[in-house]
Amino acid sequence: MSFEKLAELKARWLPVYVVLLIVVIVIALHLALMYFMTNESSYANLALLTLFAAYFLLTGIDRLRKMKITRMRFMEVVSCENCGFSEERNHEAGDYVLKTKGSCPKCGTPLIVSAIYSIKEQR
Amino acid sequence: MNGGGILDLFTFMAILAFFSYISRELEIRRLANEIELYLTLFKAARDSAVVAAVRRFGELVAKTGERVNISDLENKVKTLTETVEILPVSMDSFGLVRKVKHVLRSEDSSIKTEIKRLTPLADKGEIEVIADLVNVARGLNFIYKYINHNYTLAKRFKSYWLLLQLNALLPFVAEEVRAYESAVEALVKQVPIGDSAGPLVLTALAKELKAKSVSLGVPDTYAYLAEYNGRSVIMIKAEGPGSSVGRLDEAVRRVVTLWGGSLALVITIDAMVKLEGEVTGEITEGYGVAIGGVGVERFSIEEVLTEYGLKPYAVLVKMSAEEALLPISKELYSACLLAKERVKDAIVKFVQPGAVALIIGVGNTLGVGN
Ligand SMILES: [Zn+2]
Repeated sequence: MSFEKLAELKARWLPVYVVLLIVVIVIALHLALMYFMTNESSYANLALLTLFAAYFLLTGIDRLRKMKITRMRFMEVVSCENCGFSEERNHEAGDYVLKTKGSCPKCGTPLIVSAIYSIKEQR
Repeated sequence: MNGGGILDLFTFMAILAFFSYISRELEIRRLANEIELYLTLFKAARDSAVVAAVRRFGELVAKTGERVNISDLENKVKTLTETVEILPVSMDSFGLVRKVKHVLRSEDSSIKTEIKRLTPLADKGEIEVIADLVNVARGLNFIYKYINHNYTLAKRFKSYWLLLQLNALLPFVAEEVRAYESAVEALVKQVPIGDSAGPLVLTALAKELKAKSVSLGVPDTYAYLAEYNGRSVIMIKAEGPGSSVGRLDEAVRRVVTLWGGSLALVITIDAMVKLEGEVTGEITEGYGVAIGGVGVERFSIEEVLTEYGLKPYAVLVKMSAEEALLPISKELYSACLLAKERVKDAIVKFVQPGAVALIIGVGNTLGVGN
C-alpha cells in the first residue's frame, strides 16, 4: 500500500541521519574543547549552534524510529462440528466463513471454516 | 548611533520585514509540498484500486474464453469510477425515501448488469466484488479530485489560510484513504471486514443453534429458522460470501407478514462507530434499529416495526470508522463471539417461550457464507 511504501522510503534515510548526527556531535565537542583551551567566546557560540543542529537530527531520528511498518496476515480457523477439533491456519484464497473444507483428521467429518481474521505483524 | 541613527533603524526594520516575508514564503512552500505529497499518495491509492478492479475483471473475462483487452477494460472501469449519483430534491420531503431508494437501487443494478454483460460466466458474489471494487475506486477518485480541487484553488489565490486548513485536514483524509486501500485488499481476497460483524455474529449463532435455512423470496437475502430455549428465532442477513448488504427491509416486511402476531422482538446486530478513546470490540446494547448507510433501509424497517408495535433492540460492536473497512481483526472477531452471547441473553430476557424473535445481521457479508 502506498503509505507503507512511503514509510519504507523514509526509513531508508535513517543511516544518513545517524552519520550526520555523529559528525555534528564530534564537531560540537571539538568546538567546546577549543573554547576551553583558547577562552574565545565565538567558539562557545559555534558549539551551541552545532548542538542545536544535533538536537534537530535527534528528533528526526526519533520520528523515523517511531514509524511502525505493519503488515496484515490473514488467518482462518477450521473446526469440526462432530468432535470439537479446531485449528488455526493461514488463509487460503477463495475460503469464506462456513465453507466446508477437507475432512477432520480425527473423525473424518467435513471441516468447516468457522472464522477468518487478520493479525498485524510488525517488521 | 551618531547621526546615522535613523538610517540604522530603517535598515534594521527593512531586514526584519524581509525575514518575516521569507519565513511566510517558506511556510507556504512547506505546506504546498506536504499537500502535494499527500496528493500523490491519494492518486496512487486510486490508481491501485482501479488496477485491482481491472485485474479481477480481466480474470473473470478470461474465464469465458474470450480474448481480454486490458486497455478496453480499464476504460470501462474508469468510466464507471467517474459516474455520479444525483440524489432527489429534498425541498418537498414527502416520499423522499422512496425516491432515494429508487435512485440507489437503479445505480446498483445497472453497474452490476454492465459487469455481468462483460463477464457472463461470473457468479453473483464475483460480480458484487467487482462492483464494490469499482465503488471503492470511485470513492478514492472523488477524494483525490476534491483535495486536488481545493489545493489548486488555494495555490491560484496564493491563500496561506486555505493551504493551512487543507493541510490540517489531510491526516484525517489520509486515514480514510488507508481504510479504502485495505478494503481493496479485503475485496480481492474476499475476507470479512469490520462491517461484516453483523453477518458474522448471525452465522455463528445460526451454526450454534443448528438453524435450517428458509426461503423468503427476497433477492440477495438469506434467512434461517431455529429453536432456542423454547423460542423460535428467525435470522436474516445478506446472501454471502460476495460483497452485499442484502435487502433487509424487504426481508423484514416478509417476515412480519408471515409470522405477524407471534413476533415479539427484533434485534439488529451491527458495527457502530466508536468515539476516540473507547475500546475497539466493546459491545453495547440499545433500543432502535441499527443500520448505517443513507438511511433508506432503516426508515423502512422502522415503519414496519412501528406499524406492528414490535420492540426494536440493537446489539452493537464498537469500532473506528477505519476498522469498519479494514479486514476484521482477531479482537473484533472475539467481540463478535461475545455479541452472540448478548443476543442469546436478549432473546431469553425479552421473548416469552413460544414467541418468535427476529435477528438481523446488518452489514456487508463479504467473506461470510450462508
Ligand atoms: Zn472431528
